[in-house]
Amino acid sequence: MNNEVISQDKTTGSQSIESANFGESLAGKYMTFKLAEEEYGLEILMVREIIGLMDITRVPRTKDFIRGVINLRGKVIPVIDLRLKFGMSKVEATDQTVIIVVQYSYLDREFTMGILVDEVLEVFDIAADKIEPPPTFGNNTMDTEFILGVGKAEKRVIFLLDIAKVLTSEDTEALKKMVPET
Amino acid sequence: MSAEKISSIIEELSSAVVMADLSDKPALVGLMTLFENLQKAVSDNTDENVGRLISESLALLQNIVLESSKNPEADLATVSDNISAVQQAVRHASTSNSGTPKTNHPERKESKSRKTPSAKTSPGEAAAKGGKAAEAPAAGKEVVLPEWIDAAMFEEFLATEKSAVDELEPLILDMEGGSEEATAEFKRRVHTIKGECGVVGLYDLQELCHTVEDFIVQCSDKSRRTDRLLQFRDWFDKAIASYSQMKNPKPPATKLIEVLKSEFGCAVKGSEAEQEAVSTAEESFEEAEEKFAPEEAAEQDNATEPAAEAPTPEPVPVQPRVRAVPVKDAVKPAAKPASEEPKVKVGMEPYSISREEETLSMIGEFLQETAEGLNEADQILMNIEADGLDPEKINALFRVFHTIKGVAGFLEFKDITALAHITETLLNLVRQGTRELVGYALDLVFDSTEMMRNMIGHVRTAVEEDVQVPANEALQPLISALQDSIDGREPPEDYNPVLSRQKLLGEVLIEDGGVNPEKVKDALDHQADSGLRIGEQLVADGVVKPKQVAQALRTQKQAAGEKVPVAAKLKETVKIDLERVDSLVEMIGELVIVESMVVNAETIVAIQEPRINNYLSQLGKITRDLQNVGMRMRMVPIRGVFQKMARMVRDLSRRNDKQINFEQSGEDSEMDRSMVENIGDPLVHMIRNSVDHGIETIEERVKAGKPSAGTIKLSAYHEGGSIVIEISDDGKGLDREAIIAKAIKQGMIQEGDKLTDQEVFAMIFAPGFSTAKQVTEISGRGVGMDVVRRNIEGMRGRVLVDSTPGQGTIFKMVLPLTLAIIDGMIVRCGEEKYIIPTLSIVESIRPERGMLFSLADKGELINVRGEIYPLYRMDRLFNVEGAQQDPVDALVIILETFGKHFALLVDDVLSQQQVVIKSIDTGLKMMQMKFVSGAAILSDGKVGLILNVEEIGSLSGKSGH
Repeated sequence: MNNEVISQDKTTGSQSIESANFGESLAGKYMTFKLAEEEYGLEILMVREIIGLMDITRVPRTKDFIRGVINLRGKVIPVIDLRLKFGMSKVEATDQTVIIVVQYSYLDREFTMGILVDEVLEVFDIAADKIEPPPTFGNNTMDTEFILGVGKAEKRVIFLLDIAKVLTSEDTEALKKMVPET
Repeated sequence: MSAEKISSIIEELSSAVVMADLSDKPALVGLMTLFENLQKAVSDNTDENVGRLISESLALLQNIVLESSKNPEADLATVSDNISAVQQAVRHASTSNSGTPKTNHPERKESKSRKTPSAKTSPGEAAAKGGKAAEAPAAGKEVVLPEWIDAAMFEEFLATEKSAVDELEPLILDMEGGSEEATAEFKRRVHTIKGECGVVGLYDLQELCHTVEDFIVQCSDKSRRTDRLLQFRDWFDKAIASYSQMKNPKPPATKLIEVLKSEFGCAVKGSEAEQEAVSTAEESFEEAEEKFAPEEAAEQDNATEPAAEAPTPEPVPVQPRVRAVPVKDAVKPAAKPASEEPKVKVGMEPYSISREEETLSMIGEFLQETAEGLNEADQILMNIEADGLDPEKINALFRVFHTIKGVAGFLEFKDITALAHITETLLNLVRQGTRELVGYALDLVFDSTEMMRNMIGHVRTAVEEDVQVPANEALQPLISALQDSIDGREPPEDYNPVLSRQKLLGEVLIEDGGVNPEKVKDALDHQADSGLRIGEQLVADGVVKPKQVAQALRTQKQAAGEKVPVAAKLKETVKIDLERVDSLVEMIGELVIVESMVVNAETIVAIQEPRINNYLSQLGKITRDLQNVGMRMRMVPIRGVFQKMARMVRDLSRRNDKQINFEQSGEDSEMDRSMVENIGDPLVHMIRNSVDHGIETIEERVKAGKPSAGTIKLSAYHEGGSIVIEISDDGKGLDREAIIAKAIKQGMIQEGDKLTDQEVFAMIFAPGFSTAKQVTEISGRGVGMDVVRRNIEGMRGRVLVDSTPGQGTIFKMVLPLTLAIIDGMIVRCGEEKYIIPTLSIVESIRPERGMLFSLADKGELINVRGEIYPLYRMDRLFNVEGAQQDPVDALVIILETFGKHFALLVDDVLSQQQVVIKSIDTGLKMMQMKFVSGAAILSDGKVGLILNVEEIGSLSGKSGH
């Protein structure tokens, strides 16, 4: 799948490319959604589908942001509550609550996962000159390492998410812990 | 070993090592296993550094596991560093490799993954590439094929030879036991391989096979012979592997040939001109064959005799080796005076077909493949006729006849073999450019396909009606005509294709019905007057009975290839892409789920209409049938794995100076394909254990009054819905006291703990547990049994151990028939549902107050008929809210895992059903679930989690949960 390639390009791109042509590699179509009052963008090629909230089977003894698993037409996939993952408060589901099914690659393998978000907004085309490098927040609730860049459109600000990093960050943290501090 | 595999192991390793927790012994042992795999995988890697890094890591890990490391954290870090170093080294090696001759043989890869037959390179293209490869200098470790090798044929050769070589092993072992049959069969197989090698042009392999043929009869020392033959098999295996990967050239055959020759006293001419060596080999060829495999020699004669009419009157020097000619063909004529008439003419005598089931199924495949092949041949011939000849076409045509010849020869259809052979010879001339395939020659090949079609028709009839294959008079003229054409003689004036001509009824009656030809002649005369049909006339003349005529008519029709309704059917098979089977099985799984969702839907359940209910139950039945068929499609016999074990036992017992009889039964039992793959490793470890620790040395056995040879039995059988694989030995049995002592030392139990035999024996599966006083080459590091446990656990099976001191040990692996579907009990806890594998459930009971008690340090316990089990509450294990708190109002399920029993408190048992297991693969460690081994979709469409009984069972012994 080419989305894998693209996502990888972007991950590296976010680190190495100068800010002058920063937006080049990130420009394109994004699926935007809402989490609390903030707007986020997911690169469109990573999104498989959007499904309404369905029965989620809780998986005991896992992190709280892992809401559980669902039956996606015979496939069992995990669902992550992005609010909890980003340290926001948990809210009751509304009519607008949906699960975005994304496909990402990790350690050279393809995985499918659902992410629970408050509301899906639209598919948004962001031009290269409208994208800026991630800001260095002070003590914001959100870690900027998940953000590829910030898209600007009129009065809106859209955080472009590195979803593969979001979903695998726990592993990365564990990895950091393993490296002995010398 | 492919670089892909290595890098996948390394990847696994690097992710495992960063997650490794020093307190998590199983994970560390898992790491060791990975390292061991890696060690195996890179064993042929020349980089010493890699090997050193791996061994160092293994040693470090072992220290950590055995808690003898002073600074485990630092050691683990070193291991981690080693992995990245190995990774870099390997990556470096692979990039430098892929840089140069990667383009050499892309088609080789396809032959390995036979899943994608469509992707096969067309023969012409492949040949072109092969040619290019040959021109390239022999760079590094690449294998360069001689240019005379036809790439497409070579690919086919590799595919068949791979399995053929595997099949040699059991034969070799049987031969050691003195089985005449096995010896004959082995010779036949080696002979076939030899022929095939010759055809593709691997002359060194051919020579080796030849030497082996001689060796079998020359070497009388059975056990040495077996050693050498196994050596031969292994060498050959390596050679095939190296060809199929086009890497790591095989060791030269000459060495092995010398060894073999030295052992039957045949002087070796060493490194003299290769041609000489071959011609010597070729001379003894005939002798050896006739002396030791008379039957086969005769058959070969039949097949090749016509070629003996080659016009060269004196022995031809051995053909230069660069020609893609089957050497056999090239050499045979030399051995026979040209004038000699063939001794036996084929097709003159009717013959019977073996009715053994195995043969019949092979015949079925043969008929089908041949029919397809002939159609293909006709198509090619027509193309040749229309567009002229090109190498690709002629090669394809050659292959068709060659395949037919090979299989027909094996099945002992001498007539078909002979025809295929002679046609092949003609085509070979065309291939070499000495003949043109036009006009008469082309007609002959057309006739040949037609004749062959008739002949396989006869075979089919013979098999289906259990009669003899009739004599085929038309065959000999065709063969002669082909031979004439090969020899360059002009076609006879009167030659007309005999094939499509129907036999006259009179002829049939004379042949089959024993009717006097005179009478038929008379009848023919009478017929002219009466205007009756010949059959009617004969009946009228009172020569034959109407019944005879009917029979003759039938025979006549069959001979003409017309379809006659038949009673029995041959078993026919279709080769299917594994991916398709998998996706079919997956879809069936989904169908099963949807079916149960439909049937259990509230609205449907509410319908009281008998007709609807009837339909629903029909739907259910068909779904289950479909599920069964789907499952069976993936099932393969366990035979292959068993055969490997036989070989291993032999090798190990040699090394240990023990005498061991290896018996096996039930090797035809079928299991899911993926399980057969997974069962190999545990079996290796368990059998190693039996050989190393179980069976005593000869002296010990004699002292104990046992027969000096120990016995290891490996058997497979069905028990209930599962398959059982049992390994039993008559060795010294497990040492209960030693196990307890060791367990106390390792802090697994405390002194004074009362344990049942089962519990004691189960401890041998703990990681790092070994009672071996010394670590031997084979075992003793305490890793093996942990591997067994992990593998079996992975398959959702269990292991039972039973042992009697002095009498032996029995390991019993109970496994589900398939990985995809298990029988599960659906239990409720609060509002949640979980699935417990039925295989682990001993019983379920409603507890009474008096059965329950608790101890301060052991938590809750339950007394079931005098047995005390630890009691776990599901709601506490899984943090479930709203579950029943009073055990008396709930249910207790007694579960068993690796000899350990425990009780689980649940609210209710809802139902029992087969569930299709779905993996939840996120690739993330954070999703690793505790106490849950997988998921399945329940009848309400929701996901249910499957309990990991083993993991819960391992709680006992540790306090608090």
